[in-house]
Order: sequence, then C-alpha cells, then structure tokens
Amino acid sequence: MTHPPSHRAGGFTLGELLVVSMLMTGLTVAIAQTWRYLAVDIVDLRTRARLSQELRIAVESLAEDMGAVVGAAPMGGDGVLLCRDSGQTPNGLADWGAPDIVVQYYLSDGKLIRADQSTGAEIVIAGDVSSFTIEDLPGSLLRMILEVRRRGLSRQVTFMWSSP
Amino acid sequence: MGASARQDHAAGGDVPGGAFRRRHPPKAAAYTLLELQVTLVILGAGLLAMPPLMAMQSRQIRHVEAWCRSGPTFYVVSQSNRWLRRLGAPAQMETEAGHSPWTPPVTGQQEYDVELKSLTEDLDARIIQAEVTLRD
Repeated sequence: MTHPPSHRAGGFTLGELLVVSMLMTGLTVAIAQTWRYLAVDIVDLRTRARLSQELRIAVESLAEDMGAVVGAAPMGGDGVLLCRDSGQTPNGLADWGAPDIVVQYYLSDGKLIRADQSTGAEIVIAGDVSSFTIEDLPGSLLRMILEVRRRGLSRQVTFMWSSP
Repeated sequence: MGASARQDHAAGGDVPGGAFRRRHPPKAAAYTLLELQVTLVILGAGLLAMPPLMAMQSRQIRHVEAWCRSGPTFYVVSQSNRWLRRLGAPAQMETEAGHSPWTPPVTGQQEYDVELKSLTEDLDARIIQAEVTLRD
C-alpha cells in the first residue's frame, strides 16, 4: 500500500501571522512614539533658528542705518523715522529732507518694512514680527522693542538710542 | 517505451498539437530572508543615526540663538564722526550702557573742510573708496 507524498503548502499558519502582526504593531507603536518627540524637536529647532535669523537681519539692518542717524522720531507707536546724515558735506544736523536720507521702519502685516523715502524703495527686513514698539523717553532717548513670534515661541530685542 | 518516446515526453511532445509545456511552474519572484534582513539592518542603522544628528543640530542652534535668547538690550551708538556717517559705517551695538563708543579708525589733529567728490562701494570686498578735496 502506498501513500501519496504529502507536502506542506508554502505559506504561513494563522498562528505565525498573529505573532508577526503583534510584533509589527508593537514595533510600529514604539517607532511612532519615538518619532513623535523627534518631529516636535525638529519643528522647535527650525522655529528657533528662524526667529534668531529674523532678529539678526533686523539688528544688522538697523545698525547699518543708525550708524549715520542724526535724528529719530517715533511714528504712531509702531514705526520710526530715521534721518541719516548725508550729502556732499554732511552737516551733522537732522534736516529731515534732502540731502539727508529719511528712512522709515514700520510694522505691517507681521513684517518689519524699511522704506527709503528718498528713493521710495521698500523692503521687508524681517517676518514673523509680532510687535515693534517705539517709545520716546526723556533725555532724547529712544527705545525700540522688536518682538518676533512663531509657533508659540517668541524672541525680543530692545534698542536704546540717544542723539549723537 | 523507447528512448525516442522518453525524449518526446520530456520536451512536451505528448501534448496534443505539439505545444510546449513546462514540467515545473516558474518560481514566484520574492525576496529572500537574507535580503530582508539586510534591508532591516540598513533601516535600523539609519534610524539609529538620527538622534545624534538631532542632538548636534540642537547644540548648534542653541549656540546660534544664544545672543537673543535672553531678550538682550542693545545700546545703539551712532557715528559721531560725520565722515564715517557719510561713508555708511554702521552703528556700534553695545550690550552694556555707558561703554565708550567705538573709536573710529580715522585719526588726525587737523580738522579739514572736506568735500566729497565721488564714492564707490564694493560691499562684497568690503571696500569703500572715496575721493575728497581737503581745504584748511
């Protein structure tokens, strides 16, 4: 009496599939938990780098303009007019007109704008700006507070300026 | 069955019409366990390399933003020399009040009446060339 050769069908049993499914689920959950924190960290790092970059550009731009400033005047609380000494023979006085260069910094729609009133050119200096506060203090002092905010993080820089 | 008949059977010669018939079905294309293991090892190495990179990036960004994290106050010192103002020298940003303003790199005892003839700025090379006329 001969028996037909019995060969096992190629495939997984239900038990094997269940074990593999459980392992895969556990692994996926573990990886997702890890990456959840990493993803938050990545977003946080990008936000901090962005805010630092926006502030740095604003500080450099203000430093460039304020080197030649001989007069400054607040403008509505969230803007400032700067009078840069210029001309063939700089006189050291704030003329608020030619040959001096009048530059305006103001906040518009979350952006810090630099407007050169002699040429009419306007450029965006920094984004994510939540406030740009100008205060006229006693003793020809001017205080400017620039705050940038993004995704719940904020950074702030204060400038104190007095007439040269 | 003779040798000729065995050869016909092996080559599928017994199929009506003489059509060719393979005796073994083609092997299904699939990854071997070794290939899968190599893939998982590479993936695992990639995932393990991420946390150190994140830590390094975090350190670098903390270093980059160190200047503004505490909400600094800058005391802006405009140029007191009119020619430095005219040449566009930036203001000095002091972090403490009462510091001496930056000493301009222009010296001389004599105060001349200066007329600016031309001004050329090469910001890439950080060179400013000015042609002036001096009068006593």
